[in-house]
Amino acid sequence: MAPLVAMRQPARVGPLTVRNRIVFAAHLTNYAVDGLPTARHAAYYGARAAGGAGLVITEEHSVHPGDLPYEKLIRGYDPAALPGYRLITEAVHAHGAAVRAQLNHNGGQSSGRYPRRPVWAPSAVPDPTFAEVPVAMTAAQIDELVAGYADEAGRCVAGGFDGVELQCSQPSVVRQFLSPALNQRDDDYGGPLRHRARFLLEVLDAVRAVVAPDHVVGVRLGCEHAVRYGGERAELVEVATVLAGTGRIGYLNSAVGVAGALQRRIAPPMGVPAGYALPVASALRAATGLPVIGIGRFTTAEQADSALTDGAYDLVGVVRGQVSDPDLVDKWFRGTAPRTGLGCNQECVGRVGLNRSLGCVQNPRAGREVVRMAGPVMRRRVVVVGGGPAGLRAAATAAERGHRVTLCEAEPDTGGQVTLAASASGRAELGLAVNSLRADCARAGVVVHTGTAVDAGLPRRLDPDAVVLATGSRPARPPWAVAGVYDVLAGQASPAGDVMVYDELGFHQAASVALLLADRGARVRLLTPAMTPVQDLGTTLDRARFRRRAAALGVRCANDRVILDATVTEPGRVLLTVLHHPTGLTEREECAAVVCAVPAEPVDELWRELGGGSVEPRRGPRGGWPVAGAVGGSAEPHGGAGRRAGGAAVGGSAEPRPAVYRVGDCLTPRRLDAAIADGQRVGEAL
Amino acid sequence: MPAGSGQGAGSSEVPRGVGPSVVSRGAGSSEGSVAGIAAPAPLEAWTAPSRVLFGPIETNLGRGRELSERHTAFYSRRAERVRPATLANQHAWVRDPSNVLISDEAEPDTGYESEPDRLDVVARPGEVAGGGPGGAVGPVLGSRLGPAPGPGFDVLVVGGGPTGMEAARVAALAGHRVRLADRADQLGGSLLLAAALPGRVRFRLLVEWWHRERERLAAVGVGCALVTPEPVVGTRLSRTGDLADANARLYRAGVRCEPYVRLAAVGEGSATLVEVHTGDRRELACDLVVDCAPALPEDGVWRQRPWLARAGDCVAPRTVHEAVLEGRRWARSLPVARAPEAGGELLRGAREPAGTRAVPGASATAAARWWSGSERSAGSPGPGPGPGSGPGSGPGSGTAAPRVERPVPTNGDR
Repeated sequence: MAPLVAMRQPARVGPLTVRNRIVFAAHLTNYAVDGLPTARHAAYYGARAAGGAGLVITEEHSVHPGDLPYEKLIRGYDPAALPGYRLITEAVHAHGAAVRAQLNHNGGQSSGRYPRRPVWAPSAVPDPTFAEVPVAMTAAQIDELVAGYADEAGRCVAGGFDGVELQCSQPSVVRQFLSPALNQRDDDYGGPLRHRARFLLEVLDAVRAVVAPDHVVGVRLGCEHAVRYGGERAELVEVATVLAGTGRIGYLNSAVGVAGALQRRIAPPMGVPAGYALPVASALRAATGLPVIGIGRFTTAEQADSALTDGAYDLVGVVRGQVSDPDLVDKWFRGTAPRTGLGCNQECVGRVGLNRSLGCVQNPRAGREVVRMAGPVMRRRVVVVGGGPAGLRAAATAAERGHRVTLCEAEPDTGGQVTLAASASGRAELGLAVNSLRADCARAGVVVHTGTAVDAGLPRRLDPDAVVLATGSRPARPPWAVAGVYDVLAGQASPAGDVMVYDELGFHQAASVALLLADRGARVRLLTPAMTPVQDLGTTLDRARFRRRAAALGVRCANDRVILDATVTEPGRVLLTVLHHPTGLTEREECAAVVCAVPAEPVDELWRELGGGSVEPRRGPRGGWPVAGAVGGSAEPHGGAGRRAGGAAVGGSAEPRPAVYRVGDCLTPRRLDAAIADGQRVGEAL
Repeated sequence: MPAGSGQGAGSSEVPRGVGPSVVSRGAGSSEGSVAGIAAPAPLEAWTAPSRVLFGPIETNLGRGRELSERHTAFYSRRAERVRPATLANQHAWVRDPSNVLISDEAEPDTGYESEPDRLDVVARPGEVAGGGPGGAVGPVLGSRLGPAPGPGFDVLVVGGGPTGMEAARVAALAGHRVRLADRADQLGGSLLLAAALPGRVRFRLLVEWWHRERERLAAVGVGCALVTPEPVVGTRLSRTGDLADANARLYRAGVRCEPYVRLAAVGEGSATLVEVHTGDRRELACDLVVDCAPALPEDGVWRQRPWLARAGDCVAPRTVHEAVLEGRRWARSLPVARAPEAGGELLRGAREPAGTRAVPGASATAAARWWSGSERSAGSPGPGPGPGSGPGSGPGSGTAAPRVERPVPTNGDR
């Protein structure tokens, strides 16, 4: 394979040179405290700079106090932000990367609930997501906002940023000014494009006036804001051309999508092909000759490099890949495999949308970089039982910290339920999580025994200091269920005809199986007690894809319904009693088979045999995380033995016993992120 | 009093599907005090199963102070769009030596619930026709249906006093097509006269209740669909804790909820809906489209006189909270004209008293500045905040106050 050279080339951006072509582009983190940037931000961005990123662009900083659509937005207009800026820029510069601050005002894409003020927008057109009518800004308010941009830009430069990026794409008041649908003004700021672009040009002038020539001002432009505003790309190119003509900007960044119905275009979920946003950036580049940053769900070095080689972009933004692996760029350059972003959106997009801090399913340390991972106090012999994500993560983390780790998996291969889940259509990238975990284990020197069942005698034979149980969960089907979702995915059940998929989990389990069976020709109905079918697919932006495929395959969904009873009337016929709980009415439904996605139960027999029972969560020794389910609460292999409750001791009472932990589903069945976080937690605590 | 009768009924769980439980209509008294609902009950009271704590009430139903079938009937009557109690006690005074059954001025079935000849037919949207507008919902809450539906009569009721209104109401409940005529401008007849007397105003509540019933019954059988591009209707009710309950009420009322669709066009007798994810289009037959999109500000006056202060919905239509907040905020921005006697705590943080008279157009910077006030005048080209000005710099700092002309407050001596 040809060496990937394009992405290693330094890039000239305005007056500055960026050391390579990979950008950690702006994204919300919710790490701000009281609206101010923190040491957590600094450690987070610094880790990506240390990992090789050429350019870091921070999340948005608001330029005006009226703009507070979500609680943890950075209040850039507040002089108190300055110390945090210095922390960030020092942390990034220490590793040789460039760092810019993104300035923004969300305009009408906001709510007055936090600031208790009317929301400002070009015109009184409510945003579909917030559904709050904004007030059309007066000329004086426009002046005030322009001054706010300049004020904040000056603060960013004082804080050590190499420059600023004006967010003018999806969440920005500038986009709203540019859009003829949202800007209905009849003054000098509305009407023809040159009027609609006036606000942007005024902001640029004001910002440029306070940002010295050796600093960069960039502009992020976007399109595909909504289907009905088609044809906007031509206007976008026109705006970009005007901007380039001013000679005042150093680069353009690009974006597609808009919050709300087209959020999935901003943070595309699993299954969206690399380069999906390529046409926008290419058009900007062709029209302006300015350096252009492109995004587009690039998950491999080859994809990113070829986009650069093809001349589509000058720099490439990779966010989720670097969230899941801070050293992604170094690994790409060295030709080793990084942890690849999945596009699952569960802990990044999904968390931020719920007002929680950005995290990562695969990388439990994302956002915790500020807490250093300590080495072991003593090298221990650790046995991990179970090779699903929790066991793999516990083994890898323990081994990375210097412990000698053996992992035993009863099945022929590691991966656990993730491998099954990844077998569903469109979900194959989940399997990358297993690959990464296996690679981490191999790199850290974990000895893996597959096809090795473990009984309670194992601790005696291997004489470990600690045992980590990651034995997973088993389906807990109601007695009337014909099959569980994992039976179907594993090929152990093949229901056909009229199939009822009953979903109490509201996530991919039922969605995947319903689509799989419908694809095989079954007439599938999806029934759920929840208010809306597969409700959690909304947080990960997977809902649109599911609903489109379900419609194409004829999957019918019904909500607010509980299966009370099922009777097999004859072979292949099941009579269901279904309660429509809002009305209290019961309905009779007939089907050939019922497939259940219901909460599982832990496989914890080994835990009990090894004397489990005390599950008091304890504070971990570092980082303040509770240690999940440590027996006796002790991370020390022998110290806790005497205090441990339970009579099913292994060996004689005088014999020292290993500390026993359990992680993942065998502690209590949850999702992938919890399994990996459990493994990490115990791996760090040993 | 009959031991346990009232409390037993009040504390019993009402199973789903049986219908709303007893709601007191004021038909009863205990030791001379009237138990009842003093004000028209909220919508909730008749759209959701509800339990009302039924206090100890003497009824005379048992005559010999024994529980009887009458008690069961009395206590299991459903809430029927709660009829306001007059509290006149004309039929609710138990200790009358003549020992009649208690009843109610405007609910003559009270006390006679188990009589075979009771006329009341309880119907809800969807029940009369034996299947709701939504089709699948069917008979709601399993209430007693009247006789098998027939074609019904065209009924003309002449006279709009209590008699005529009740006749019209119950006939309409039974599915007949009813018209009511009265020579007066107002319905209510002599009840309006009675209500005009001092202390008798509650009789008017009955007239208003008949009006509400008339409006409601006019809509019986009208199919209703609620369409929204969101995954569920009323998503923002989640903030109030009412999302699930509101959806349940809609189901029970027979409203068909259509999530994930956008209204694309309104045609003759139908509306065109577009599925937000698949783009599929379909027609929905309807006679009326009710637009629940956000409103726009009624700001014509302000546009003509942009130097005036504005607050509330004419800035941007929002909720009552913002309306009150901004009204108060504007008033606080004024100089205090005199020491307030009541409600003075509202003026904490307001400007120092400026004598006896509010000065229009004074440099009330608090209102002119964004940070403390709501609106800056469009006609005032004030400079933006300079570097360093921010929320920490306090109201009025960092910028020259634009001239804002204000009306003199009503407590001024203009």
